[in-house]
Amino acid sequence: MFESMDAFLAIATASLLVVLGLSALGAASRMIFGPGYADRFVALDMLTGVAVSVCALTAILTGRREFLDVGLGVALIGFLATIGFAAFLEKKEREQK
Amino acid sequence: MIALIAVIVMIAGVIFIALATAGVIRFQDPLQRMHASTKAGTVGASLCLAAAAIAMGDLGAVVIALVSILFLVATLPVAGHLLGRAAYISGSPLRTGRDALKGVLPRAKSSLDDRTRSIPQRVAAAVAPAAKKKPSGTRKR
Repeated sequence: MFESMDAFLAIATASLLVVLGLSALGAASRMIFGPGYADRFVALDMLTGVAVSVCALTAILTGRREFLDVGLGVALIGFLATIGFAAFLEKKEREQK
Repeated sequence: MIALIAVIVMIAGVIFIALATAGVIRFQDPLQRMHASTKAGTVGASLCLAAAAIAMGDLGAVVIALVSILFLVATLPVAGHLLGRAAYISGSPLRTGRDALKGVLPRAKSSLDDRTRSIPQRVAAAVAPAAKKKPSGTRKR
């Protein structure tokens, strides 16, 4: 069916990347239409996970190891962003009192 | 053979990610959405990184993928805990009707969006007298 295992791997990875793109669109729609701030921050957390997966699959598709480094950086930045937004949510409440 | 194992692991990871995104879209309040995104999202991303390690095979890729998985598993529960605590304290709506943390953590009466909705009117009301008194001094608070 396929010429080689490499072609099979490439085709499977590319089609799974399309599915991941649809997932990213769904999480982005929750970020845009989310009724509250907390919903948007949860959607950001989800988008970080999708971005790390996209980096891993891109590393498989292109065969370049650097994309795994990119994934590690994205995970680090997403963690710091989530902590920052959580602190923002709590601080807003303390200022109101 | 290695490619087949990698593809199976990859498909499992993408299924987890897709289900987590479906939960983020379909669930009703922020804490339920967090329940979907933190756990299933962590497993999905870890499986995708493991697939990358299996498919690429050289030592550097395996080490970086394992370090990334370790980092994700160590940090995402912390981030989820902080975000859930902040969402509860800031008064985001709970749709299940039960409040198990009542009296344990302080909680705002209304959600942050309801409280910040009146800020533009309050700013306008605070700026308007100053603008009437001194037309060039609107930048002064």
